[in-house]
Amino acid sequence: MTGPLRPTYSEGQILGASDLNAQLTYERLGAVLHDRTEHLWGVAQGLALTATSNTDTGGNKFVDVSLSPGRAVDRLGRSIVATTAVPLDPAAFLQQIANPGKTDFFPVFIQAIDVPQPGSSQPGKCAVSLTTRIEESLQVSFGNPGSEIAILDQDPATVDEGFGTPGLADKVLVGWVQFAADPVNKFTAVAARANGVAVRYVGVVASDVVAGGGALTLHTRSGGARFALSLAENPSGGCLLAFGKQDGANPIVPTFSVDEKGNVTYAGTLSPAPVSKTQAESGIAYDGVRLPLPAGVTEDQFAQGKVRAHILVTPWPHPPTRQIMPDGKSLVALPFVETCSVDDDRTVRSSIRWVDPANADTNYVVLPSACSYLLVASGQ
Amino acid sequence: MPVAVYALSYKDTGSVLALCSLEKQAVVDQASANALRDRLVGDELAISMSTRGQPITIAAEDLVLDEVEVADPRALAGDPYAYQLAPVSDGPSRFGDGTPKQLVQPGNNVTLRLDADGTLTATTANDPQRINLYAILEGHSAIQVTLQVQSDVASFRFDERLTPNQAYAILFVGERLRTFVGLLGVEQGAEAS
Repeated sequence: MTGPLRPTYSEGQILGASDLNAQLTYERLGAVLHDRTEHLWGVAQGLALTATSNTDTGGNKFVDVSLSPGRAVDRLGRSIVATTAVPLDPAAFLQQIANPGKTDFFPVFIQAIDVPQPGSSQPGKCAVSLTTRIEESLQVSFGNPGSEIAILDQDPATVDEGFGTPGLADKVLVGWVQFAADPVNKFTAVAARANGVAVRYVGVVASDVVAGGGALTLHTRSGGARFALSLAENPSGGCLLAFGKQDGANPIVPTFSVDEKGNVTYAGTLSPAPVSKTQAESGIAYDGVRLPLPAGVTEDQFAQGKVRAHILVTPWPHPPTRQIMPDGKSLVALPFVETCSVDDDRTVRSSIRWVDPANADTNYVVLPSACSYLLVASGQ
Repeated sequence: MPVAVYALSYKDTGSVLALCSLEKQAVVDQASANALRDRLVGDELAISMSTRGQPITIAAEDLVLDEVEVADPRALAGDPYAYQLAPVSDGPSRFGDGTPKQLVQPGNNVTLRLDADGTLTATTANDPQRINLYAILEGHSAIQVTLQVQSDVASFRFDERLTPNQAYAILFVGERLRTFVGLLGVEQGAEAS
């Protein structure tokens, strides 16, 4: 087994170029392995194609396209940095793409290239022609529509490949251009999404992401108007998972949220809508009876709110009937509904006020009665 | 789905105290009958009848549930207290044992008298058998009295002074007797009807 070789130095050691290069190699290998194993390759920042409208002397409109400063990482873990805007050259495009279609979107790639730089002369030193610096530069290339698919699908190089061997396919997609060969031989548009795919941005390889302060947020963009998914604890010991729009650093306006108890709040509609089952029970029940739930519906489902009960009770009709009044006398009393309802636990409260027709306000008796009921249970 | 009528009755007398019709349940033995009873009444059956705000309540364990064979439950709904349970067949049967019952109307009435000292006096037709009587005065638990052979008067003593000329809610049940549920004026005997 061989591991990375870390240079080490001792007092009085005469350092050669190989020692210093070994130091650099060690650092560079660590950096590319980190980017390849703990991140997903792609554009990290910037590197957007920007179009500036222009018109030629013939009045034909076109755009000047440039690549904004930024940084990307390719599948080998190499950092591709543009420190200044890079203009895209229509002539270079025509050299690479034959007979470009006017409506086609042509992918634009960048690729890391090492450009040796000769040493500079210094006072007291002889002029040198040896390379003393390597510019980690980039080159822009174009492809035919569809060629971006194979580039986007590339897997990162594995650790055993070390730095890997750079090839022609080790590119990073930064966007698309449209080109008009006739009459201007210029670019006419740019896009960050075309041909069914989009620019690939760097990612993170992680099986566990831990927030330091009890709140974790994912954003679709680094700033401005964007969407966010946040998981945040609150001072009362609860937690809220929320999704919605966020403008800059303003609070998220959630359109969907779930609290720590599983309560879901959403602003839109559920699609497909949850299937609601409805079952019913009906019959006659007497005062004091607790209305039964339909077959298949349990008290637990009812108590947990998974099933809702809609209950209709109707007083049972009574004809005038002989009753014993509070004064002990027996007479033919008239029936009036005193109560006809159900308690929270579905117990029927049904009673009739039997009234002495001659003294309705003072001489009456309230007796239990029956009712007819309809109980509809609905829920998932 | 088939519908069945279930009666909730006083366990020792079979006196019907409430009825409910619902989808036919699997009531096949005492355990399943008690389970449905508990579903229908919980811990107790509260009868909405009181002059002092407290309904008359009967504990669930003093109730039995039976499926009753009736052609039209609507005919019973007006006055279930007029009925008692009776076995459908001649075989051994107990109230609340899971076997279907039929409803019969007892022929014997009872005359009740409530006195200010808390005594409830029940006068029945002379019965050739001993019969068990139960009475509940609102705010009190049930009191049982066994009426001996050849006797026709039973007394229940509630531990409360009652106000003369005021009515109190009474539940009275007895074997082969019509159930009385209603108000009774103190010192004014009333014939249950």
